[in-house]
Amino acid sequence: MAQIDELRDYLKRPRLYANIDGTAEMSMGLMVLAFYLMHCLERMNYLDHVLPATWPQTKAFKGMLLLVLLVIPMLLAGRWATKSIKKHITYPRTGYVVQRKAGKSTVVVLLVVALLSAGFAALSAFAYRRYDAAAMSLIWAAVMAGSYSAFVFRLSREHLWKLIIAALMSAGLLLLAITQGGSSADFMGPAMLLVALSWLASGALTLAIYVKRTHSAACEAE
Amino acid sequence: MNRQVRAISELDRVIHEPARLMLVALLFAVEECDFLYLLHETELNKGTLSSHLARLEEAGYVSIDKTFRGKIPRTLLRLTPLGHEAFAIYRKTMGRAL
Repeated sequence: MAQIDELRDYLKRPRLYANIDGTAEMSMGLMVLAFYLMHCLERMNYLDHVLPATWPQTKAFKGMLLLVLLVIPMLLAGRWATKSIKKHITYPRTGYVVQRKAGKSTVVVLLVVALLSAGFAALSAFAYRRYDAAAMSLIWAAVMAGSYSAFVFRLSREHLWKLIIAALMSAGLLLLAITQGGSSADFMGPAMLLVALSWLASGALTLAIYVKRTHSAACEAE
Repeated sequence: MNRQVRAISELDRVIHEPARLMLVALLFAVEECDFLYLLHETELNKGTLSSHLARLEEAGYVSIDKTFRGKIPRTLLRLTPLGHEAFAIYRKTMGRAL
């Protein structure tokens, strides 16, 4: 039985290797930061000042524009940064890996995530109608803190200090939900910023620890 | 001979050796990787790793491509379709044996 467990452990290792340098966390942080900036610009009605009068002035169009001009370039920049870190730091130190393409199990996981997201959206809408915005904010806070905690539990258990980040993030989100939860717009901005910074800090620290613990192999002499 | 004992006797000896089992499991979970990755993950020494990889290549389970990244040599490894099949059978047989 120990051999089977060991085998399972080896089969899981490449998945853990994907975030050995913290790039997955930093990408996540950058994505949340992009949505936070989009949220801020929307709240400031920034596009009202710069959008030509002849262009459509609907909220949906402005949202789409911000998505294309802000969020997508930030996501692409994150992808480029991840590739650069892998190429110049990770691969020379601990080796090059091409992960396996999505198989059946990945599709199942994506379906489960989609179902959970739909369930969460329905739950937050129900909380908003049945109770108030504060209840919805609490649910959002739980989901945001839960996502990071689940990530740490599944993919980063060797870094116990991440539990401190998870605890700080949870406490901060809870505090925000209590103090700003009355208005979902007031809550979402600071909450997204806190989540983005937590993911980014976690990823950056992981990268710093990785660089400290490993050294670049000048060449592989076999 | 009972079922479990028969299953043990059917285990693929090339894969069953602990270091090679580790290598095949790691290669099974990736599309391809280089020598340095296997060295890092298995913590074997270079000579031992090379000899186990040569044994797996001889059995047709692993393909080895020697390339260059700039001026630095890089050895790319991947499990062949035969290797995938052999590992899948090994896992099934092992499941029966336990």
